[in-house]
Amino acid sequence: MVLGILEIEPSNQPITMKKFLLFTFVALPLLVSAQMIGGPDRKANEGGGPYDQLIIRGVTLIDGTGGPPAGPVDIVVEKNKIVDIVSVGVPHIPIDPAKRPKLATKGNVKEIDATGKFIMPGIVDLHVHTGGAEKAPEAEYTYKLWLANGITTVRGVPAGELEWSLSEKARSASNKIVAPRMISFHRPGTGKEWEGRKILTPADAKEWVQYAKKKGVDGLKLGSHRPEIMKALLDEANALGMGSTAHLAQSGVAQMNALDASRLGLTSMTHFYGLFESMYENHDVQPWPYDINYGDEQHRFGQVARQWNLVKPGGEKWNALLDEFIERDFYINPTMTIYSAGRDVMAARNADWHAKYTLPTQMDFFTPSRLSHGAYWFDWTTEDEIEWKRFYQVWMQFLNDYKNRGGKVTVGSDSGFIYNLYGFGTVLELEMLQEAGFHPLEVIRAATMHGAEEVFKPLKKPIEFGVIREGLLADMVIVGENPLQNLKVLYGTGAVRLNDETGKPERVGGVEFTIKDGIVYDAKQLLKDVEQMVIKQKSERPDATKVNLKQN
Amino acid sequence: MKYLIACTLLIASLMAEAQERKALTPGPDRKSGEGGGPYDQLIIRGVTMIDGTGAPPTGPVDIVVEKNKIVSIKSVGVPHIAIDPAKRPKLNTKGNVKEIDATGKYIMPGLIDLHVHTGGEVKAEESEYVYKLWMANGITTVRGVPFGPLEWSVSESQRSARNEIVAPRMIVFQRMGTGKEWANRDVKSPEDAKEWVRYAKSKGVDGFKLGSHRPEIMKALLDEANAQGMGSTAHLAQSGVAQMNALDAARLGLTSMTHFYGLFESMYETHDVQPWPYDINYGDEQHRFGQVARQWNLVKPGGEKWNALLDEFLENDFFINPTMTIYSAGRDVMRARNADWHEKYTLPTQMDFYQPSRTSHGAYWFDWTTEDEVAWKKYYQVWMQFLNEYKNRGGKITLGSDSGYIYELYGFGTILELEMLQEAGLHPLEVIRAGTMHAAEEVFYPKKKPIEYGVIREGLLADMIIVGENPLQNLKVLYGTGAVRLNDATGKPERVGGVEYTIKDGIVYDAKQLLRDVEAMVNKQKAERPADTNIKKQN
Repeated sequence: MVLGILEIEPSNQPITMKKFLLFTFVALPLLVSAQMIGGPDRKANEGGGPYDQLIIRGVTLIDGTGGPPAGPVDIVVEKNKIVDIVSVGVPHIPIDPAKRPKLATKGNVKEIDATGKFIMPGIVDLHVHTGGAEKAPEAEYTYKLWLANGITTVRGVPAGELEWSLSEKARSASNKIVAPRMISFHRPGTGKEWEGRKILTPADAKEWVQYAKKKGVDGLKLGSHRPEIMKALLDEANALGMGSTAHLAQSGVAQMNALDASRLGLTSMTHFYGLFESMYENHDVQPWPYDINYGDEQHRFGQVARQWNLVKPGGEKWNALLDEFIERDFYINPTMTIYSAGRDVMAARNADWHAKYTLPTQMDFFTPSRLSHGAYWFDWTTEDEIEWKRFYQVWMQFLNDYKNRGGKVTVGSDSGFIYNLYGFGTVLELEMLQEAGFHPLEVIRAATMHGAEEVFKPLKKPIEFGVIREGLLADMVIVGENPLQNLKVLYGTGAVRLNDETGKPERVGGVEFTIKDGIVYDAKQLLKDVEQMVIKQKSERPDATKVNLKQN
Repeated sequence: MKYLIACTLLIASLMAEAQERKALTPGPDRKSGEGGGPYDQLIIRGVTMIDGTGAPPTGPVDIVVEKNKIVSIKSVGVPHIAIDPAKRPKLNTKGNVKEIDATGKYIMPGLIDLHVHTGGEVKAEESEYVYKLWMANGITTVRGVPFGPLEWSVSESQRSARNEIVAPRMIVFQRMGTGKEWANRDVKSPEDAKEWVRYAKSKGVDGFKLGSHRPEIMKALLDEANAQGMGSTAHLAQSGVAQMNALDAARLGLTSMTHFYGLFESMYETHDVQPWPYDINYGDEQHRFGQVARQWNLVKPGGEKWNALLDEFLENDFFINPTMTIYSAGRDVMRARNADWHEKYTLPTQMDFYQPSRTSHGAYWFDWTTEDEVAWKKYYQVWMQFLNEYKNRGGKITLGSDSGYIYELYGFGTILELEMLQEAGLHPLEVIRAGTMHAAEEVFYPKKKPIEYGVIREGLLADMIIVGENPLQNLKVLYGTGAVRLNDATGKPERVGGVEYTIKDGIVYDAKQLLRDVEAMVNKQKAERPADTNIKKQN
């Protein structure tokens, strides 16, 4: 979700006072996020390891490549690397202990008995923001929600302010904080030294990319910049081995749709903006109602859905677009989850996890408001929801067609807006990919190997995580239930299942261990930590600030 | 003997339902403060009228009701121009008269829900609870399929007709073989079937809720029902659909099908019987309700069989009463479980009944997965396409809810059906027509009589609802809980709409008060039951 700032930039004019005011208003959420509190130093009891040797025993392996689950296997990890994956038997036959890898007799060693459990690569979420003072001031809250839902790598687009993001990234890389691996993408023109400067020319754009590279930025979160700026940004990013992803905001899509951007060398598109516009049958610009005002978020987010019947699934333009994306090895990072409240806002507002895990400040931010980004439920009707249901059908068909032709679709969530909670929103994205037609193995591949490929492709390096394979980094999640059978078991809240012994429904699953960089985190404990933060805030704030939409 | 066992098993769920209704408490006598009128003259002034026929809203009009009849609908001006008081109908100076100022509000016919049950001991023992939820959500006529036991249903229907209870108009449909005098008899032959239909007619039953009976029984039931001017609707259960699908039943003279059972089976491309998994057990409700959704790819939308079926249904004047709402939890059970209205308006006993259980009907969330929900989403897309095409060809789709199961609450589930009809492609005016005029036509068609309600028209019965918001703009305003809207004056979201007045048979009920009555019943039960029986939203 672009925070609004980009829509102003393509105007490329000196900032008049009026423009400055407008800019300030639109950029408000971003400025607020600058007050974020970084993750606290990791405490001694938070996470075990990395170990000289860690053996995960008897587990069923989903490797992330699309290969079918196989087990039992024993997985040996040394420090932060997977060093051995040993098949130790076949189902229904007792394992011969003699044939299993032996635990080292010295050093810091650990065994996890994962008999009957499933292991898969940690989830790579390529579209995140960390929250902000108004919503969730402490990054710890967001970090733990991510890890608790099986996410071991996040790409901030951006995570927050440039310097803050890089600092948090470095702290995570050295495991000083409890957080997923962080990839730091930033918007053109950000960074302390660029305060007061604007990107006015292609030369400025290139200069900024070089500046960002020097600062340690991994890649670019682009908007729908005008063509010459977009070209300069992408040329320079690609020359420097930096990645790029774009939210081709409606404000600029008329001159920069997804096809235009992919032709200029963009690594991936995120969301859907610019996709439909690349294959309209009878329009070039979306035929907006005449009273459209992009600053009115119900207009903005209501009207985008009204594109579903402007394209022709399976038509000539549709197929040509798929073909050209494939040729360019273009990645699509759809983040369907972040718009899902649009098709049923009551469902999103009442999701199981809010009661225990959503901070009151975050819930307030979600509540209808003209000022909170993504709180566009000013008068959201049956028809608005239906338009979104239809939009999803067409969009999903495109994504599924792309996947079936060999295209790479990756996982992103953008949680923290629109009733989507960090971590939980990512698992919902997995469910929506299955709804789009992906087999659960294809879903998991999108969330792991393909996500990693989107990260490493622009670096021109092989992946270092995202698959459970010898030699790769030990980023993995262990869950007691089979996620292929039901992706819901990956939610922190698990899935509901009837216990036939007691006759009572109960919750099963939820990630048990999240292993990041060889460090084993108790995912259930992380959730308890989050719950405590929520309880604390609830007890501290006055009752009167609560908005209860369940009131009649 | 073997047959007897199979038969016993098949009717086990029906018997469970019957038992659960045994202790259903009739509605209490209507108190003097409940509902105003009927009036010698009632004038509803300045309202915008949605008449139920599909015509666009028009207003301001003044609607004059005398006793239980609409006697005059008078256009009293045009929008944005002040109404000339001289041209308005005058209120009588004597008699029991009343005016309602409905300036800026909307009026439409009361909703007709053609598929209801009244609850039962384990779910909602007092029928007052259910009746008031219906009325509060704008429902002025319900067809019980059945409400409860035959004699009880006929009695409640008569009490409602005399307005002795606070309840919608009640149409009594019964299942084959019910009734006190048939308690120890079974319908074993076509002669039995005909005899039972005549018996039911004599008891005051209006029509029949059929299953997927074997062809000779089905034929006998329908022949006799049609000869007697009695209506019929069928849930063509999967247990018998192999020999009685929707097309078979339509050809035998069935008035309407309800739910979807037997529809897809009437147009399979390459199967006759659904290719069930080999471990299917119809008694396992997750099998039963999970597998039906797996039919979505067995038919070909727009194909030859699809089109032929649409054509033949049209020829037969066949009504479709889909009740999409009752299965909607299947596509998103968390949504249904957490619906806004449960907190205030769902009895704890009813909520318990919804919880995953092998013995509660419709509580089939034994292990409901992403894939199960996805299958239902796909199923709805195909089903909705069929319904929309039928409507587009002139076919009649009608409103039904079947609430009380599967996380659907009485009244609220009916409004959700309206939303789902719009999702299927019906314009809100077509949706309202399905919920009013077309439903009334399904009721009166077998009687070979013109409709007596379901349209706001002079000469028809005064069954109408008044709501402060435009339901075309947002059907959600018909929910008792209304719709969420941001108030730009305060900057806070609030709830708007919800039916204000439900007028049934000329009696004006305060719909918001009815909801408060329901809330009080829920609070009472919560206070009385031990806390530990509640199943909490646990992690």
